[in-house]
Amino acid sequence: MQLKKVRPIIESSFVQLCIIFLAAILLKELGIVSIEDNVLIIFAYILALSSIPPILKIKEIKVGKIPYVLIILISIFLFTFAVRLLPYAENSVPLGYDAGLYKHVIELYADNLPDVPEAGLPEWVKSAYPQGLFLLTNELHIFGFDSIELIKIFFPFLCAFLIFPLFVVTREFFDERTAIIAAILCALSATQFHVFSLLYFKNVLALILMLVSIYFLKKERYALLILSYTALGACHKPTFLLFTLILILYLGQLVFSLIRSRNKEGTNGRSKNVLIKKIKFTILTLVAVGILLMPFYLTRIDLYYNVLSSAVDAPSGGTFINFQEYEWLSIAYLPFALIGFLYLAIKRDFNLLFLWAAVNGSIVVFKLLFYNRFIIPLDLIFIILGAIGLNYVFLDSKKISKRLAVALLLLVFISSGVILAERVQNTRASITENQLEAVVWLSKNTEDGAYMLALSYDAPWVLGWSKRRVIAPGLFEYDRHETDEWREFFRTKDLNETKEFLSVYERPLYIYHSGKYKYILDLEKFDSECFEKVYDRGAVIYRYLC
Amino acid sequence: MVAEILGTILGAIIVLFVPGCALTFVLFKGGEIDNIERIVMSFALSIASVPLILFYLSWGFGIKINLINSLVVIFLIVLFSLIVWVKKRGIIHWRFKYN
Repeated sequence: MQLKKVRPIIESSFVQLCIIFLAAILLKELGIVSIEDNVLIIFAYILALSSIPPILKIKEIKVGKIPYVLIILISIFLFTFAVRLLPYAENSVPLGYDAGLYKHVIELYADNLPDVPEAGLPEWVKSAYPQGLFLLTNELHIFGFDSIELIKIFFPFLCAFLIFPLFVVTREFFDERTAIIAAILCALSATQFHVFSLLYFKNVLALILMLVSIYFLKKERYALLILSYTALGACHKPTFLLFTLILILYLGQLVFSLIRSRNKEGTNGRSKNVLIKKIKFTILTLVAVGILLMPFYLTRIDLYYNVLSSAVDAPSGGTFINFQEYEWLSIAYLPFALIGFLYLAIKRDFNLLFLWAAVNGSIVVFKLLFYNRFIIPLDLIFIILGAIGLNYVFLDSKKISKRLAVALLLLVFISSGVILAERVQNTRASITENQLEAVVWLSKNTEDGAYMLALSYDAPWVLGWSKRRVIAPGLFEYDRHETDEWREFFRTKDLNETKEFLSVYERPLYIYHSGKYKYILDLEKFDSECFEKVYDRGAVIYRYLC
Repeated sequence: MVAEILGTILGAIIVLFVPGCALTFVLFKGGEIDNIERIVMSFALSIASVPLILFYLSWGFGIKINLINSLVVIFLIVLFSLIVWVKKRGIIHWRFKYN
């Protein structure tokens, strides 16, 4: 009885609540009002729950078509590409901590051409960098791309290109209008921009391959699915694992449907045969991809097993924003993503995208393994779900006026855009041009076989640009100390302790310090006869003489 | 400088678009996919097929990954696609009949 009274109130105030919510985000982002992030996040969840009565009333949906869709998509692509090039307008240093690591591995593979350098690779490269991406960068290198062009041009291109497969997959499952909303949300997603600013090269390539794999699976093009799924497996393990879980759930769904249809009288033989055919081909795909990936995985299986078992024993989030931070970055479309998920659940449309959201959401919410890294594909599926929510619950609704629905959609875009603009504005390279120049100086003015000691914050840059062997705490193959010993070395002023620490490393040995995190490394110990300051412009470099 | 940039753009098109685009004409029936899908499939099939083929050739047969072999693989994909496409459309068959 009570529920019956509340229901019309919720229904009539739902759109108004959505508009108040979006206006609150906008005003907060513009600094006009001050609202706690948590209040808005709770508001988002309440909004999602209050969408259930309106969703229950949706009977039929129209298939939304968009004119000049290719032109619109190209415009979105150009906008996304331009946004990703913006941080390079006044700065030539690549973004992200991983830039040096990628530069090093890309060059490692390119230098070993015409062969693939499997046996000679250090363990950290084997465990963290599957071959897939570097086979592609090798191809591009052969046709004239160098590592910096790949990082500064090809990678932003990949990030912007993501909107195309996203559009195609969303349209395949839903309609053109939902797909275009998804593409715009992706272009305005601060999380996707954050992925770009951290230079998660493999992730972005894997997202494209996963979307294409989902498209092929939906179209039942199994040969093509095997190709894209194999490339995905060769590129990025977490995304490969995610797609495999989706595929296994899909297989389970098919088997369940088959069992149900066998128990049900009146189901025709043809639909059973279709289900059996789908099951056979899905199993065949899993087997074929397993066989095709053997050359990629067999040589590294022990390393991958160690990574996986340590992740299972002590689940770690991986290096990315946590879910609380993500909730704020996606706040403008988060309630609509949940509404989209509820819409699919209520309509019992348990398609591949629903499975993706369920699997990915479970990994992130229940903190299973590398849960923070799984926020990247989660954001993508939230974007699709957000587009579903916005299109079917608002734009398509007969109860909501078209103008109000369009205004709401625009508010979502503007709010997302403001959050994105703030991110773009605050995005800086981890080191300055002067500090990078110092690293380049090392490559030109030190011996070929020299060792470079650096803090872990500077180490990727030194590795990528100095082209020398790098010793850093917990990184790469030359570190011979435990964390405590490193801490002691950083802290000490005593020359004897310093000499003892450095005695295990071969010569010539240089120490690079960018000047960042000055409180970690005490430079006083280097003011002695055992060290010669060879560079001091933006960063300092010492040569060890004793 | 300009020639270098043009060369790089051409290289990118050859690696990232041409083989996949050729394959889409063979693997999808006429009208099955539109221009947007063709763009996506061209890119995805290119980045998936050429590196994987070259890797398996290198791993299985010791074939070197260099410019010539890359061009040969891309050329063979395009040629194979062209033959199948021409055969599918019945152009060769029609010519014989005409003669």
